[in-house]
Amino acid sequence: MRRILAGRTPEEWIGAIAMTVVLALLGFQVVARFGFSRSFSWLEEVSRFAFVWAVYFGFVIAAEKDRHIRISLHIEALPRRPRLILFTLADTVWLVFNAVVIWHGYWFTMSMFEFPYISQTTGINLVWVQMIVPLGFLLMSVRIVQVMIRRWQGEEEHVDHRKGD
Amino acid sequence: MNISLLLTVTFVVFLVLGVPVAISIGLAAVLALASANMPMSYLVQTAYTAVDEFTIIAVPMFILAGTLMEKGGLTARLIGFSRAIVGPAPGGLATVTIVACTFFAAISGSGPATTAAIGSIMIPAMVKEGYGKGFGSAISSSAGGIGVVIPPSIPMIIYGITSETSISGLFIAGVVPGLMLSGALFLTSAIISRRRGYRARSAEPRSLRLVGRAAWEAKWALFAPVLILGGIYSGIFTVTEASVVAVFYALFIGIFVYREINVTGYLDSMTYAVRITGTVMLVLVTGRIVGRILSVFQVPQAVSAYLIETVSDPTMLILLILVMLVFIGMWMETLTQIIILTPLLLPVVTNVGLDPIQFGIVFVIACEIGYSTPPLGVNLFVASEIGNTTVEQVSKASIPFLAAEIFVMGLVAFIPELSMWLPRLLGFAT
Amino acid sequence: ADYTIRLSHGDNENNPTHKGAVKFEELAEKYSDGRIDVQIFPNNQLGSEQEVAQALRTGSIEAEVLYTGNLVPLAPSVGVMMLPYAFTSNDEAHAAMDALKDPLNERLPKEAGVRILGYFEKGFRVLTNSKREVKTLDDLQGLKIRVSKNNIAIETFKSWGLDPIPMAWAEVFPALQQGVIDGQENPYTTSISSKFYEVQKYITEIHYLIWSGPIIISERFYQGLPADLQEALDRAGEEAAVYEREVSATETDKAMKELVKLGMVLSGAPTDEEKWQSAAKALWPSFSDDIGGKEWVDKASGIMEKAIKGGSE
Ligand code: NA
Ligand code: NA
Repeated sequence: MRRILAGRTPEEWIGAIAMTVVLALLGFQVVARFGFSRSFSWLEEVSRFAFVWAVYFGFVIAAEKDRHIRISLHIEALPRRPRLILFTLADTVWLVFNAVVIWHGYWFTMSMFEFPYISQTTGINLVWVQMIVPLGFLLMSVRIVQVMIRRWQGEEEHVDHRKGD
Repeated sequence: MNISLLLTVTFVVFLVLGVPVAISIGLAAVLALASANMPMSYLVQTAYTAVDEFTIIAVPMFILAGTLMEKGGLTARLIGFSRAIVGPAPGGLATVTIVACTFFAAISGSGPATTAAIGSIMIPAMVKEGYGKGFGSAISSSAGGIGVVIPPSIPMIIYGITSETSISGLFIAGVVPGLMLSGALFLTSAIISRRRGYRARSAEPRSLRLVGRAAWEAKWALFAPVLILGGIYSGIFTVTEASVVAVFYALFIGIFVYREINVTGYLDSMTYAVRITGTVMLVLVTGRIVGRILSVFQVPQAVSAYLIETVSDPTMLILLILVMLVFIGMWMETLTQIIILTPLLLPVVTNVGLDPIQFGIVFVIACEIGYSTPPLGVNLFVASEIGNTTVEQVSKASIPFLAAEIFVMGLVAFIPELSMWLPRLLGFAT
Repeated sequence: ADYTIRLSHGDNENNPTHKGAVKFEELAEKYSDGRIDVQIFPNNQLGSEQEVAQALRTGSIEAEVLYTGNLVPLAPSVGVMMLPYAFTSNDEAHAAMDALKDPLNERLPKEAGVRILGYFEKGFRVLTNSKREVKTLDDLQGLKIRVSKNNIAIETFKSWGLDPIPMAWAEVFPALQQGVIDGQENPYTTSISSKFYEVQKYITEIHYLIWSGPIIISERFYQGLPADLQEALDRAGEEAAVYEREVSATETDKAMKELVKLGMVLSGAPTDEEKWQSAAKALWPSFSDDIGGKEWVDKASGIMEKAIKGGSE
């Protein structure tokens, strides 16, 4: 039991659980429709909502592992100090972009409380789903800052483990 | 400042700085929104809706199914079977990858999903056998694209709707060109493998008895496509649901038959699938925004209007359109590209004698190629993630395969029979 | 031009929606003496119908033609247009739409930040399926029917004894082809434009709901215009709607003839239509809360009824 719980970040847990919900709901849908000729109108929408959350936590997981795709062969070739400076600069640019999304995402979310968007099959205000946009980018930013620190502390000697043919 | 120039310059500068691809695209979008005087809320909104698409669910599910099949021991047995068939021929596993993608294409309507399903089984296998990581990922990325040329195909559905062309006709028209693409990839990979000496290290010579034994060993793995194909064509489930059924099947066999999957194994596979999906989807999100902005500024329209005005020779025109489709496919997301360009190009190409079905197949092959071209190539991203290698390396290794596919696209564009023979024979076209 | 209107819709260029949009462009530019420039973006190039409707509120995009059902999640009040069997002929529908324009425009700006300029339609939604001719409610039983993701449509089918399937649009064609679902419901013209005749055989005019689609404009944008331009847009919207409805009627006739030629069986209305009507109409009270409250629904149905009677006199 301890082995199962250990070694996973919170975002990995949430992402895995959300995607498991998608899997379970759609599996249930096939069985219900084919086996029992029943269909549940809320299933498609709810599984899509869970999927969006899973994907956003996927963004965070990839950020924590520093696995978002970048073109960096030319930077890897540099000596340690200029390399670290460049990566820091690049990640700062990334944080600026996230800040734009978080700021406008926050106001967009607020406006959805005022002008609700009501899901037709579940009756919920979609703001509860869409707020994952600013939230996800905020969590991603926290992980980016951690990676930046790790890099300078040398724990993350950015050897691209993907390199080597 | 000209909007396409602004977008391109911003994008390239940030890319060179080492900013992630998705974010470089996103920043270009932010600048373009600002210069178009459009509110940033459009960015936020699209960041949600680009992910909120039911059919995309098939992508992580097929990745998951592939991973579980590997963990659960189905893959090892499937590879044993493939190896028995191919024997010691050079590039054998690459051939198996191409054949598997072709077969899987008859189940999947999506390029990235095909790459994910076959790639997550075959790339590690190829690496284990000493094939280059870049090569293994490149072949999976290119062959995965066949998923949209052989029916069913999501891009064909979108093209059929936009162009008011028979979708069944398109599906059937894709069969021959799809098989030609497989053939072209096979020839290319055989030449490369022979030169580099990629081969199964300890393969025994082929024998019917060995193949039979390996097939029996791999029976549960071999039943998977039967279940999925059968389920789709007998109307039990949709393509998206099929991806979920594939996961349950892999889980069932892995847990109860081979007993090689436990809770830890499941969670590991799941987080892996979620992470890859996150990596790929972030690029799709910002790519979608840029696609929309290009539409607002009517950039694709301007480009094709220019083409039509300046070129009068039909052969030249078709060639130019092919170049343009491949070029735009490098930068733009498939479905957006189809929706925007189809109404503009269709009148032009039918004017010089192409059948709408034929052009549809040419267009879908261009999209198929676009999946594997940088900077925005979804198959490329999926394959390099699975192969644990860089996009640059996979891109480089993809060049010969892309050349072969572009050659096939040219053939389909200039020889109508390749796409039209089968639908005419079966009465779907005149 | 002093102002630019980006007008989005989800259909291709051969659709009545697009032709109506083009008419709107022509009229708006004419009535504003060229001070307004309208740019049309067909095929959902700028985003799905719901997405663009939300973008209208923030002013990212200025105008849109969309299916009423896709506006309901943002502007519940407009749901009165979707009450099953509120009207049963095109003339009745037109009268109701025109009479509701002003009352709706008192509510929509507050609910969703948009306003209606005119109301388009593409004809009544009809039921298609691949299994059997549906002539009575009994024939319907056991069919697997896809409906659009709208509460009223879902509940209406439930009242007829089915579990309808709200499937994503992109999956509908392959699902029909492979038999995952047996049928769907959309206007006649959709069976042509989406090639449903390739995979469907029977059509029944169930007549419960018309495909209605308002041309809506961002309230924020509208309020930023001088009064004379506001008037120009209102006029252009109403006249474009009149034109669009004529095109739609012609196209629907054409589609019906075409579908017969393509081998489909057109069965007309069910023989026991009263049964369908009474089952669906019994639901009206249960919808009130979701479409603006009982007071509004009573008021709106009163307006519709009066307009319909006035129209038939
Ligand atoms: Na396919
Ligand atoms: Na590309």
